Amino acid sequence: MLRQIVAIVKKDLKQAKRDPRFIAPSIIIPFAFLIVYSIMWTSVGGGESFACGLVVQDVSPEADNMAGIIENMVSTTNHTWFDIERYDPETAANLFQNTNLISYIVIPTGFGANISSGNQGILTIFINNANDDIVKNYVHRIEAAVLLYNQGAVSPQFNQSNARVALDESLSLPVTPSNMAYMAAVGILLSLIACSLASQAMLTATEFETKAIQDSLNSPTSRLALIIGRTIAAIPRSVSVLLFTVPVIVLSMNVVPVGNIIVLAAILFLTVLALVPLGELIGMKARKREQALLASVLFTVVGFLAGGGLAPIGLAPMTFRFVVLLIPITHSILLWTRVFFSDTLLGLWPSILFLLGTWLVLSMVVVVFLKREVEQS
Amino acid sequence: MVEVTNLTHIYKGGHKALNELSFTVEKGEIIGLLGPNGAGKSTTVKLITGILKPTSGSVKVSNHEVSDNLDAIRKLIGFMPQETALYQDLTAYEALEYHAELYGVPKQEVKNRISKMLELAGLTHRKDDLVKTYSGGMKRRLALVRSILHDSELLILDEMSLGVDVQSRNLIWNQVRKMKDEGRTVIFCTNYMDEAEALADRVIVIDNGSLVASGTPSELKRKHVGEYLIEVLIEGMETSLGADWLTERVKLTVEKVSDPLNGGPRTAWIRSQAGHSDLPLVISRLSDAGLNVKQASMREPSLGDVFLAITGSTLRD
Repeated sequence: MLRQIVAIVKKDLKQAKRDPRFIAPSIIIPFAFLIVYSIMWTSVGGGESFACGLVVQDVSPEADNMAGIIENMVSTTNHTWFDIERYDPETAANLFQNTNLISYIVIPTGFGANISSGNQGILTIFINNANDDIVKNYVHRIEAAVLLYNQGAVSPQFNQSNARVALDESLSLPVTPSNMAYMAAVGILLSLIACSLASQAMLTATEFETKAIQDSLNSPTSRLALIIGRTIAAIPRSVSVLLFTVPVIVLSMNVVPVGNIIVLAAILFLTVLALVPLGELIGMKARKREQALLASVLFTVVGFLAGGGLAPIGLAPMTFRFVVLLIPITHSILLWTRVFFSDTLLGLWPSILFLLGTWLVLSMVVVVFLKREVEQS
Repeated sequence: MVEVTNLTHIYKGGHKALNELSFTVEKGEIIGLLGPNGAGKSTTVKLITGILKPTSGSVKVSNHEVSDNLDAIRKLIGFMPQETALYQDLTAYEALEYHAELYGVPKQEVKNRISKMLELAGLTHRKDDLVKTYSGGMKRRLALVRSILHDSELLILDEMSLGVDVQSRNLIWNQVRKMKDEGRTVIFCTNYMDEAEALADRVIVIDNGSLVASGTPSELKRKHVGEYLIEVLIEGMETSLGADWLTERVKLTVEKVSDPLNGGPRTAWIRSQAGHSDLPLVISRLSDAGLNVKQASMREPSLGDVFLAITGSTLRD
């Protein structure tokens, strides 16, 4: 069996070497996303598409004045401000809990009384853990509003010890990457996903188009050897693109993983495992390498977008979140970004099991389809 | 070598591809499986190679039930599918090497065997070229030698000369004859009657999943057609009249009468044992029946005529 596995691996790698077209989407897709992402975030800022809540609990001229400043501030930069919407405390808290509200500010009861009695009024800001860019955008605006309220905010020498309003910024946020760092990290994973899917889909489509697969299937080679051989061959083939994308992304965007390299490599391995049978299924259905290439690219892009590649899916509606959790790419992104930036797998074991399960289940489906192919040919 | 007993196969969806098919193949024989498209030839082959499991009945190769000893049986069988099934992005050498590894050819023998096979296929000078650069004939030759690379005792060839030029076809036929000389058993499916006549020791005719005839080509001709076949072009025969009417007139078995084309002459095929002496008799009797014989000829029957006699249609119908 070992000899057969080695033969299958060698054959698959030779075929990939002789038709390396799968490399193109593996490089183009992540860099296209990086470019789009760069333009998107650098031209319009971050987080403005999410509304910020404002809860005014205090009934006083000072509270009205503070709320007015927050609501009516005008951006002096190219970056547009996010919308401010008023809520009652309960609604704001609920929306925040359900992540429908990314942030809200509370002007608490007693705010005006504190100021008029010569004490500091306290503003509280609640922010969901999105990413650094969004957090900065929100916090900076509120800081600006507070400074404006305190007057003299334009002066850097302004002594704030006598300030009438203070902002409670004691936020408990885990470390979050900036948008660009996040995109750079997932760009590396994206290149592997595209390479893994496209290469396997093209290989399988070729074998089905020429019926060459029958040579393997009609031989005394077990299906297990066939699956293992094809999976092993997919690993170096999929990883090959990283020889280009990793140095380019890491050096050009100055993004270095915080997480353990071995764990990150293991996540890439798991990703390849889960995607190989998926690539096989795409190839079987497409049956022509050009169509297989196109289908795998489409699957990669849609899976990446749906799986939280561009925006955290934590902000998406529950139904959508449930559906995208069935896509292995979603779990790969979750694992990769968490380990890349936080070096932890806490709470992510279900994703690891899901990827392994995907490999096992889809491999069995592939075996059934292979059998059917030979019978019907 | 092969023993097929009451073999029935029903595909999912209810299509009955084979119905109680039985035949045997002796060691060293070349057997031609004849039949129109959809007759059940490919299904028979798939059942012998173990690709399909029979719904009922049994297939034995070398006295072993195929479905119980699949891996061992597959090592005994060399199968050349209709589509050649070659890896296009491998060279001929690599394709054969891959096949040798899958079939467990002893490592020390791999190189020698591949060289021998390449020589046999006349592809030694192209061994390092990718298969996708080969002509159709070269691909078939490569597929053929691949099927014997692992020293298979039983060769199953599906449409071995489909779409190849005459030169390649002759080369393939010669190789099949050599295989017989080496003591291998060969079963081939074909739509070409001349191929079956040229190569087969015995022909098995399948139609609608059932065996309709079996025997050597000459046996089949004698039994189903006769020693000779008289072909006459006649005028004046009513459209409504057929082979039975003509049989009564010529007092010999009329195999078939073609439909008239635009009211023109019709062709009749008449079986004859006596041959030369029957020809003037037929002409005379047709004249007596008021028919005008435009042309008459006589020839030895082909397997195509046998097929026509057995199934009532030509192989390509």
